[in-house]
Amino acid sequence: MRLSTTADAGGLPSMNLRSAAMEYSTWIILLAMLVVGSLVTPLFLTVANLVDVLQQSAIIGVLAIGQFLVILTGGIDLSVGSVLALSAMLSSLCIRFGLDPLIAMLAATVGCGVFGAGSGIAIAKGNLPPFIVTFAMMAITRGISLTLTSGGPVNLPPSWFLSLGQGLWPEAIWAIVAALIYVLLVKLPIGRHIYASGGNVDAAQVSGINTTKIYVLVYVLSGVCAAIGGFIFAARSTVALPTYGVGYELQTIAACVLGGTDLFGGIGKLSGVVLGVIILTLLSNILDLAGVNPFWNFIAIGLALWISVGFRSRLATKER
Amino acid sequence: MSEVNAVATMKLGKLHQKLLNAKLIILALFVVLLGAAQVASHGTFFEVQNILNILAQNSISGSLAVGQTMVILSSGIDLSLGSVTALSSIVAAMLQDHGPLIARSAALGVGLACGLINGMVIVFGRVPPFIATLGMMQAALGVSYVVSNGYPIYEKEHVALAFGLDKLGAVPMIAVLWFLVAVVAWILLRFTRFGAYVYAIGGNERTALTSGVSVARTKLFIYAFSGLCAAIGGIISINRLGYTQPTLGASYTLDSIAPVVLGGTSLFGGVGGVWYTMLGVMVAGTLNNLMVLLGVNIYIVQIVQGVIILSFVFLFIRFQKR
Repeated sequence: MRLSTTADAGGLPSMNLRSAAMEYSTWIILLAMLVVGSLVTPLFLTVANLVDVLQQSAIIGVLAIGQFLVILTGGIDLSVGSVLALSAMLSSLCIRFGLDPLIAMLAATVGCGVFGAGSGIAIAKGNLPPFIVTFAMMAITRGISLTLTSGGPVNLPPSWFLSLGQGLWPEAIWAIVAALIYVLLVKLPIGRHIYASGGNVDAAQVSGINTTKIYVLVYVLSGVCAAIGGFIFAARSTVALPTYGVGYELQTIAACVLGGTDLFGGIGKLSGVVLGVIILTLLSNILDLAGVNPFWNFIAIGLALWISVGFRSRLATKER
Repeated sequence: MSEVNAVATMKLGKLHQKLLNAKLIILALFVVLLGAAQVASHGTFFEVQNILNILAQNSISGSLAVGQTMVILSSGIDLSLGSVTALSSIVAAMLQDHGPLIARSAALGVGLACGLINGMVIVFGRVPPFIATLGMMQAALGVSYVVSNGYPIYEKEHVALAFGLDKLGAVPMIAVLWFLVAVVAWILLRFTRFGAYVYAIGGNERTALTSGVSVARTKLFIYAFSGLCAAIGGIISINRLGYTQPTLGASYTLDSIAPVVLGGTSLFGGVGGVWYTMLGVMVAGTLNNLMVLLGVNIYIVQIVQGVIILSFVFLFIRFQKR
């Protein structure tokens, strides 16, 4: 028996403690992290530190939103890290060649969207497994990024583009993307269609939902999110490298999973994903403040994944 | 000769047909590839040394792919193989002063332990294999870094792989080891009850469970085996490279999945086998070798690899639709 959770599962659950724990599990984890963090050092619970955490989460945060949409349909997008690099390279090259940053970003977004559409079409119409398609797409887009400059960097000239990576801009961009996707998922009928396409494909199709269009849409959106992430990354580093984003796809998946998204599709909340990203960043932040060898971060993420998913999984099955 | 065992064949007679079709397609493609390689390289491809090089180069990913095959056959996936390879090779390197027996046994033990942990998280924690092995990938990577402090560890004195030999005649010992692993896996899958269980679980886990298959024990064994394969890969990598470092495993995980897919084993489980994967490894290895011989820009190589994988999978799915 699964709890079916939609984006706006509002209202207090009148269920028992176990269901409540499931429902709010991500908040519970966040709370636990805040408590642990404040115990570790008084520096943790300061505005400066928390804002810093938000800033660091922004790039993965934006990517994770795109990944979330894909996972909701029961798919996966392994190409987000490579598309981020491609977007950084494309936009930076355009800016270097004198294009207005806005045009450059538009061009890069369209480019990445096209790759996303490619993945989506291969998956929806070709019936190919998302894992393989996006894996191949990851290799292809990474290869393109590397070929553009033979592996070399693209230095960004001063322009307003660079400010996108400074100050509160990364978080602001993340918040805007989250807000837009929230509207898409909750207020627009297409949101329900996305959930339906992942939960039960046959039922969705029988109800008249064009699942092919939905699949293509989510992969395009994931590509667009990756593109936006690429802009922030390039702006923040003032240089674009084709090696950006390696391993980011797994971080976004981890964030979605930590946030309660079911890898089989149809279940998950956007708020959970946002919290999941913050939790991941908090993990490394706390370890960093505690002076722990930063390598322990990896072990912590692994343990967090096992514990959170195992916990939820056992909670869910005990519900029978 | 088909890899699908008796139980599965009874249930899936038509699939048997499609499997033969798929195998023929892969073989045909491989032969074409070999022909193209020979022509394009002006005859240098089929030189003995080149072929032996290909075998040696792919011994590590090949060994991992064998373990991955078993996991994927049960409709699971193991994302941790690369990290476990790195970790076990680091453990072996750190213990090299105690002699190869101790060092390598420790490496195998590490691989086995990681595999068992994966299995337990999956079976008892009821965590989906994707997430369980994703967690292990991170955890093993972290432990590798902590143990080695991030620095590479070098082999102080080269130790031969087995019986004091690094080559059996002209054939690299590591390739022999890889083939041994494949044979063991094949025997397990084809001739034992365990093998039948693996295919059954991959075909339909619910049905397998109700038919009396000990799903839990089988899964534990499957992941333990793949962990062991990763450890063997780690031992091979030290022998071949002469050093090890935590980032070694980075590409190995996906390198272990691609050949399985290229070989025709279905990601959904229940269809395929070890020799399919071995063919997949040879195809991938040949392609890489060919591109190197042709002097193709290494960045283009990645793009080509991606396109090839897409095309192969597309072909397989097409055939399974008939």
